Amino acid sequence: MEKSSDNSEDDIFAETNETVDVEDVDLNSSGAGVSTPAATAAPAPAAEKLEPSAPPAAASAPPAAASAPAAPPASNSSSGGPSKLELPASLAFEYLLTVRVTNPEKIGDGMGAYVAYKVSFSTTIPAFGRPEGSVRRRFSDFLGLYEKLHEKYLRDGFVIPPKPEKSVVGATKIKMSKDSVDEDHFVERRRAQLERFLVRCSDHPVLRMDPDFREFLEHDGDLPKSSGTRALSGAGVMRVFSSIGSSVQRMTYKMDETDQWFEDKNQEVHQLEEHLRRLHSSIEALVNHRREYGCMAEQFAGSANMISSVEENTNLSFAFTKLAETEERVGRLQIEQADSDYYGLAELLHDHLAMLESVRASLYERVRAYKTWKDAEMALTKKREEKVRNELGGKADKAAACEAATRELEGQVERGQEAFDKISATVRSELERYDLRRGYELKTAIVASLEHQLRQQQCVLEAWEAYLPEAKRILAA
Amino acid sequence: MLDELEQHHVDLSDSRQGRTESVDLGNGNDLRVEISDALSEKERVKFTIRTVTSLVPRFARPEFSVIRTHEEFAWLADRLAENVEYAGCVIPPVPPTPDFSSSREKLARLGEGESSMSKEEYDKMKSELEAEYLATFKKTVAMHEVFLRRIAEHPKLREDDIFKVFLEFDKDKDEFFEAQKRFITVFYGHLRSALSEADRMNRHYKATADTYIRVSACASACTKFERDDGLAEFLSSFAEFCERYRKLEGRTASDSDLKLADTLHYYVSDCNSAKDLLYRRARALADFESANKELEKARAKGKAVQKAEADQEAAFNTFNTISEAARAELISFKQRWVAYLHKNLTELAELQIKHSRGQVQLLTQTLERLRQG
Repeated sequence: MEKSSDNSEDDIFAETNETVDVEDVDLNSSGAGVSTPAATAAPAPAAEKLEPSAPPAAASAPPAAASAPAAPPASNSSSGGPSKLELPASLAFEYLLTVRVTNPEKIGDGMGAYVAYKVSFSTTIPAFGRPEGSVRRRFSDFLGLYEKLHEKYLRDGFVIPPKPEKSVVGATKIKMSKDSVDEDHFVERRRAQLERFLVRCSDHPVLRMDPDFREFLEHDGDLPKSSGTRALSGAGVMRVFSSIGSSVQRMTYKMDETDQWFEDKNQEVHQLEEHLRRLHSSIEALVNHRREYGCMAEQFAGSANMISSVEENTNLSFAFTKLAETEERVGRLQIEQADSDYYGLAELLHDHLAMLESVRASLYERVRAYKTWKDAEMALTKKREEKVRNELGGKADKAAACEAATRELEGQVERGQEAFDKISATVRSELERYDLRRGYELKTAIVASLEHQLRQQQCVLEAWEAYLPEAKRILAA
Repeated sequence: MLDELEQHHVDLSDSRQGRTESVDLGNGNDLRVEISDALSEKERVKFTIRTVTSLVPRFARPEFSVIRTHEEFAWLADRLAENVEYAGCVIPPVPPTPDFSSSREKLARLGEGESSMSKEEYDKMKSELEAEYLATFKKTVAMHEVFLRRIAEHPKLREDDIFKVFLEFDKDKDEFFEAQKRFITVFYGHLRSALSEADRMNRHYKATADTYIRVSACASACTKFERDDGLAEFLSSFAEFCERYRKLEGRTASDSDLKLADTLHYYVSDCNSAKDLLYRRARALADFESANKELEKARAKGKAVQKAEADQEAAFNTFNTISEAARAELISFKQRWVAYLHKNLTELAELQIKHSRGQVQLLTQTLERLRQG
């Protein structure tokens, strides 16, 4: 058989003629974990008791979200399902909380139409009124929740999960396959994003206990309208103010960093962003090419069928029909894989790039706390000097006023330092937590992608194996 | 048993015995018609009528053959009978329809009763029936031939245009080439679409494979500053996987290119050549037809007749040679391609299977490794 140009030395599969039977491979190394092909990036945490000093326990996660956009109908798909990676112990919780976003449904017509999603949860957290439930929420509800959490917790240095994007279409260079409906993709992207947002909130030790979050999940009926009025409220104005201010100030204020950990971290975040961006871009390219390949294979199948219809030789005609079938099947499998990698990997990386924004915001809050503290220190020093000057100048009552102000400022400085220390600790623990989280999500997504590929590739193999006898039959009588 | 008799090629050699003399195309013999061959098919009999004549250019060629069924003989007889101009002629009667039904019935009954008689009896009856069948066959051939001969010898009927068409017009041969032309044109169109799509498909496949290099590089880069060793190792394994996977996918893509796209490419070129052949034949036919016209003109004027005759014969020879060769070529073209496609499509499937297995294995190994880390 002719060989295409390859290096025989490293062609370790030159002698391959064994099939690996999927059933034989032990895919359940960590218990009855059932997962779908990478629809959600953030599986729910385990229900183990939290033991900080114990080695990571094997996590058997409850079934993850079942709304996979492209589940391949593999005939010999593993019955036990792919195994889950171990969830780092520090990410696990004593009490369980699972959330899901499903059933996008268009409500109403015309201008007032919107999409409502079913948000369901199941939990063992005592603070929740009931162990399970579901409500209907729309996109603006999610935004509202984000705004509330952002406002409450950012100042203390918490890393808030990224805001669900308003414009999902423009945010990517992904070309959809010709037969897929753009609207379906849009809805699925949004649904998945919303779900990831909620799951990340539920995986955060502080956010998951937040009453607004709980209300979002539990409250039956509509939530009070969020966006419109908020912008004019006192808090809203402050928020706008602070966000504008902070992006300017970030660039201008140089903190005197004494903590090496943070010094390194700032560098890291910068590098991480660069690399994640490149990785994201390469995955997007991969997905695009694969999807194009799949579409072209389907088109080719159409032509092969045409050839078959005019071919006079029966055997040959049949062989072309079968070739068309095979390439069409392969094409479909490739498109499914592209879709799966898109939702599972590309979107995940996109999320993490957004998450890094949150990380930066947290880091900056710490810088602001520092600034506040140091500003207070400087004011104190000045006040003391002023007091001395006044005393020397014989202005006794002004000196007395300074004394009072000094006391005040001393208090501020002390509080400032406390605040700074506190936020430093929070940010540090948040970032460490986030690192672990990112690592876990990335690993899980990559493993899920490979598992999906494995299933697809087995189907491709089957398709070609089915074709071989047809090709051979061309010369049969 | 019936099948043996269904397609019977009559051996007419014994009735040829008296006619091995060279054809003397003297006055009375300027138009000789005979049935040189006959084929009995299930539904009908096909007679091959061979004409030798000196009456060129009334007839396009001095020697030619056509295949006719009984119905066409009947048609000729009807046309002649209807023609008022021949009202005063004795028009040869239409030969009887070939009828093998009684033979067939007997053969069928024999078949049914096969079990109830001894072997010798059966064989004897069978050969008797075969002989009867053969005799019926020869008789019908002879009657059709006599019919034609009488027309050819009749001074008035032989000039008839319909008779000329009956003897000469070979729609089969032309039809063969007409059909070929139609087929190749349509086929060629589809092949070209398939080819261009196969090319694009493979290009994208290759691009997919190559993108893995980028992914690998990015994953590798990420490992360098990862604090978490576990994650760093994970990403490093992943990067390695991408490298190896890329090789496999790359090979699959280029094999698909080689076995599928290249084959189609070659098929398209070959079809092009076949089209050229058909075109050359058509040109030779046109040349021959114009040489014919020139000859008629020359004969009418009485000038340069010999040259015109020579030209016409040369043109005819060219056309005939090309035509016969082309027919054989086109048939062998098809056979060649059936074999070639068989080889390449089989190899395509085998290679795809091999690579798929490799990919499955690599994926399985990598997953094991990643899960452990």
